[in-house]
Amino acid sequence: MVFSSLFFIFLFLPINLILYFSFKNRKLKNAILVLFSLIFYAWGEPIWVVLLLSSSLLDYFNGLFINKYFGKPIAKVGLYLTIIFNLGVLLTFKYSDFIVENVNSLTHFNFEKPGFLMPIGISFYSFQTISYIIDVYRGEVKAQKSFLNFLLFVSLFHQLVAGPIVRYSHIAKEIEERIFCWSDFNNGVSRFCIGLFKKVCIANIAGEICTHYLGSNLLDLTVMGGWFGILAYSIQIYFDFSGYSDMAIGLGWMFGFHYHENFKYPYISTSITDFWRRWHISLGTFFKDYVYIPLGGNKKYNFRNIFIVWGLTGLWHGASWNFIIWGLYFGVILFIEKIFFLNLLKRLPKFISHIYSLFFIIIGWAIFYFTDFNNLLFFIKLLFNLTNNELYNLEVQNMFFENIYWLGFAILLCMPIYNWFYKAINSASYFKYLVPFITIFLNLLLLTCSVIFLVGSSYNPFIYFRF
Amino acid sequence: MRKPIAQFFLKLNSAIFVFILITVSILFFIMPKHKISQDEKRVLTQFPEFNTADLFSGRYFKTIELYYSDNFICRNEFIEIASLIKRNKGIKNNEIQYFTYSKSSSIKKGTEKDGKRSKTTSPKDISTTESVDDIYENIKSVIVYKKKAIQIFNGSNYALSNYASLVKKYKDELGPSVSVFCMAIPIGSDFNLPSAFKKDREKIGIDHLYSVMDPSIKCVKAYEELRKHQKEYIQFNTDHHWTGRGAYYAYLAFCKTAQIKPLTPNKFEIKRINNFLGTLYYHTRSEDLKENLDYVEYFKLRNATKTTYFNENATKEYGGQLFVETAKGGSSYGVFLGRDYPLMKVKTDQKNGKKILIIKDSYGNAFSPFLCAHYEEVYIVDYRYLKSNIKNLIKKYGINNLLFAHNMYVLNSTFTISQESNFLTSNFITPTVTKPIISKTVPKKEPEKLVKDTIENKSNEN
Repeated sequence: MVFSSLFFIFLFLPINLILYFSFKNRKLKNAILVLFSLIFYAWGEPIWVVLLLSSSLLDYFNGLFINKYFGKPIAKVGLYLTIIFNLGVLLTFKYSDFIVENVNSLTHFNFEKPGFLMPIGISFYSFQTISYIIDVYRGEVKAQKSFLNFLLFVSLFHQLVAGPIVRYSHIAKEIEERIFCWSDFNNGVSRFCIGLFKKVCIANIAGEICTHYLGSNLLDLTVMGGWFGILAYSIQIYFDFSGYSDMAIGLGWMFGFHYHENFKYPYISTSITDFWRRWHISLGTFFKDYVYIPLGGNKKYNFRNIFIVWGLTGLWHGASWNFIIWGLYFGVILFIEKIFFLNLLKRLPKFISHIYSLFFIIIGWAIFYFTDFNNLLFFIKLLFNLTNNELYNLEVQNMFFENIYWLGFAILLCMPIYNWFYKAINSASYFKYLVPFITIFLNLLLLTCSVIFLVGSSYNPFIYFRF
Repeated sequence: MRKPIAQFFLKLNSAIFVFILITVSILFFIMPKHKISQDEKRVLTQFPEFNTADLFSGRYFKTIELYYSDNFICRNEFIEIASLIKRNKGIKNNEIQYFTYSKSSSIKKGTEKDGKRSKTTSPKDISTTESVDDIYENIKSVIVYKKKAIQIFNGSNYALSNYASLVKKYKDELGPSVSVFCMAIPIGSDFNLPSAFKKDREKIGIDHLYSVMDPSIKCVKAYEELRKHQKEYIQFNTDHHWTGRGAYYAYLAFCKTAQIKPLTPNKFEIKRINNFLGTLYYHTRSEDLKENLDYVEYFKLRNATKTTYFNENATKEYGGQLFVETAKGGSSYGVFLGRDYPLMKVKTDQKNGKKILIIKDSYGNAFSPFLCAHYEEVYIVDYRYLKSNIKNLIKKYGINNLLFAHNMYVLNSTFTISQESNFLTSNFITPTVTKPIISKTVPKKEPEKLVKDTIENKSNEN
């Protein structure tokens, strides 16, 4: 199931809310959440619930084991067992085809591809459990004694299939004691509506434009079509993913969980370094805390560490070389920025750094989009008019103007206008009293628009399922 | 004082949200469920019957979700508003409206349904003959210009070269006793697009195809003949097919190539079915098209024929009709042959020993009846549905002419090539189907998609 489906919004969620809030007992509340999470997960491919449960069970016992022998060498066994199991599962289900393909092309063997279907959300929850075990091993958190509570942490449907990657320490306390407050619920509702709107009214429409251009025969694509397509893809991927994170955070608030922010307006970055502080923050900090720093961070072999981390970051996004290239591409830019370019940027006018960052981000998305290397090269050449393709045609011109209001709106939404707006009306004494009305009105508007588009179109692909 | 008020509004906001959620949920259970969507011309998703296989594959739950969204309250109104908003999200060009192919269009589901339907129901109520999603899979853009829907053709010479070698392969296998014809049918892009567009895409494609075609193959210059009459009613305003008149001009071109004396129009009984609103209306939902309804004109033969059709393995024979004159409304194009049968056989009163097999897509439905005026037996194969060996068929029935008649979209698709190569192999193998992880569509369209991807990769290598 996905949040942006009518079934979820108008059946699953209300039933869940009613049941959840009709009980006072916290244990019962947790059990209800776990039950609904498992249903939510099982909805797509029921069989993978078994994997989720067995992985959770193993990690739960490993946590207890490490806790018991804390500080003793034997505790390492639990740590390694969890890491090996989770990475093993990830390798098997996500990367086995990719590995076999590469082994075959490097050697003369001709192994058959296993062709596993990837369980939904595996990249997210396996990282969550790994982080939990490492934190327990490091003594940063206490192991969870109750399996139900642990399962709640792993399977909570808010973040199960598309992140953010929640750290156990962030919600450890809230699993055991949550205090309900109306302002939280209220903020959660608003946040959910915003996220839904971003996903349904921005990302999905951008997706249509993107597939129309990038998914077509590249030989027939115009240069302007190429830019329009990749711009649409940049919009799609941001609004899709951050919209989903918004919904997750909003749902969390409704039920009393406070997840950390996952996006902070990445497209207003002034450098690529800045971009990665604003894009998919939970993944960035995961790699920083569990790979980069243990490898030596910037103290030892800094260069090597940067490339390992960025190669892995790329690889996490999908089992294909273009993702690794995408990661390394950012690794290189970050390294250059680190040695001297960042200092230079600071001295330049701000709009130049914005243009610089956006340019490299958008080119990055081209690498991300094209899994086929030849297509990618051709596309990059096309963007700079190095192919024989037409510059533009009537079709792309028309398409551009037919979407121009929407496009302007989408670009505006990449900036923190919502915050500016609220700041402005809060500071104006006349409007101050209208704020609650405005909030209610906006939420209704966002929800209605989203429902209209959800009903109006069956086009609801979810690109982050790939991970 | 202010704090409680603020608290009240917080609660109000939350309460309104929850109230809406719960009300809509309850309304879903109360409201009557519909079986058919008139607008989309399809049967809505019904609550699935339980079986364990579907449960484990996730299909069971997915169907429930589809059932839910298909029966959502005020669904049609919401769809209407959505398309209204979508039409106004930018500055519209009033003269030319663009309709990008996207998966959002409701016709997607509609065609899906048609595909299923053509297998199960009787020929009488069959809607437009084009069924599986494949035709839409290939439509890149449709524009509406002066109240007429025009498809923008888009294809590559690479695919066409492959098609030429496939036809050559047939010729090699069948030997000199069978004359092989190839007829590429334009889809109206070149003739109807406004001048702002490049208007010779189809011509370039057809010229390329014929230039790489083996000299032993007789190429039918339908394009040239149709161009002479491009001002006439040869392409529908609201449908993706050509008209009966368009097919007649292609027939003239065919006769020239086959050295047959064609019948003049007055030799036919020309009849019409009015008020035809075709597939491209449902694809674009453009109001302009509603103001420019089509009629289906058909040239009825006067000579006696006996028509039968076969199942997909060509093992069972049933009674059929060359013209199903009861066709009406959105299914009016079905007047030609009824629908896309895997194989049809027409016995005529001509006793000249000439027998022809035509491999066609739905454009061929309007064309095939003309052949019945000149051949003793006419065999009509739909390339999508037959699962049998054509070489054997040709041998079995003593067929001495073979005609490939396809529109430019179909000629450009590698699905066509893989299907038609399969007709040559003794064991018919349907292309394997991979199921996507989340897909609301029937898997039938998947092979098309896959090959589309591969062809793009290949054409970039060139």
